[in-house]
Amino acid sequence: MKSLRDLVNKMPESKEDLENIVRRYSPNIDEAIKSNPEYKKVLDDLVDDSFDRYSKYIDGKMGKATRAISAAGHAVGYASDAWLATGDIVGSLGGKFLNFLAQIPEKSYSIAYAIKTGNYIDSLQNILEGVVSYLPGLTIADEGLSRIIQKRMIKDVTYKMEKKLGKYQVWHERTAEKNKDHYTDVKDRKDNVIRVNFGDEEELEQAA
Amino acid sequence: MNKMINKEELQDAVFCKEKDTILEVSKILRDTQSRHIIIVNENLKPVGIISTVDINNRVVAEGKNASSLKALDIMTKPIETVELDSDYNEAYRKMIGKGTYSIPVTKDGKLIGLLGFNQLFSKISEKNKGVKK
Repeated sequence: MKSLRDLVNKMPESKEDLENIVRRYSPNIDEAIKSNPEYKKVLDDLVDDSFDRYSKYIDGKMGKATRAISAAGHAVGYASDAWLATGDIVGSLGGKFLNFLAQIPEKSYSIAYAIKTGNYIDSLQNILEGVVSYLPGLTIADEGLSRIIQKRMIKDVTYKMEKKLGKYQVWHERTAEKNKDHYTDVKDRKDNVIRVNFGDEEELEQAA
Repeated sequence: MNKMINKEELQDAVFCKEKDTILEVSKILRDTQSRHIIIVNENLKPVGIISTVDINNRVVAEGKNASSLKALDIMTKPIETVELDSDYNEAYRKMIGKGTYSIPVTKDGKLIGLLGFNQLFSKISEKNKGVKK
């Protein structure tokens, strides 16, 4: 567990975790595997590929070192948050300063990750969360670098598997699907939408 | 720094034709979960805009028939647009002038997307970075 948020939204730590989370995240994939177990092999291969591509950021030497330092920094951060409850703001800020120093390697690594993968948005989010976590009482705001990579793996595998199944839906298709249960005569309005930016789709295509 | 609006910064645009009924327009807004829709003519040129509030105020609250009224009957017109490759300041002036949060972008007069205020604001901030008072 890297963050207290894992208690409500657990990130994958293993290939099995990743597979289970992808199946929960996308009912289309889960249903396809239940109806045809052959798809399980396809999903396994995609999970392997994604783990190979992204795990170097989590399990490589640099990744492990930054995680260890970051964990120590977080421990100090949580301790200083607790210290604040005693009313000693000076002591708490001292702890926060140590927390700040320990986060520097991880945030630097976050920038390196963004340059290597082109995933600037998640990296920026990670840095901003880090900045917020330096405030007294808000260590919890920092998810840590590994969490953004884990999220990326989930998106990566889900996108590729849904593409293979022919189940990938763009936003107007998803919206229509969601509305079908609530209203009558709901249609996919693709003829009324001019698409210009493909966001995640484009990023994932480039990464593939 | 590129000062011109380019396609990478645009958002998807939801649109309909002038002769679509208000009933159809409402369904498009519902099915795409949008709050406003751009009305285009047969050449895809933006000619007006309708918001969900417009439908409420100009059709439902007035007791008019949504099946017989057309988009062109209730749309807000004329509509401000900017051409792709035009200056961000022009889009800014038009959006501030009309008090809107997005503006349709055209290429050779045809609708190709929307420019949102957030995107515009970040571009203008970039432009002004390093400029001393």
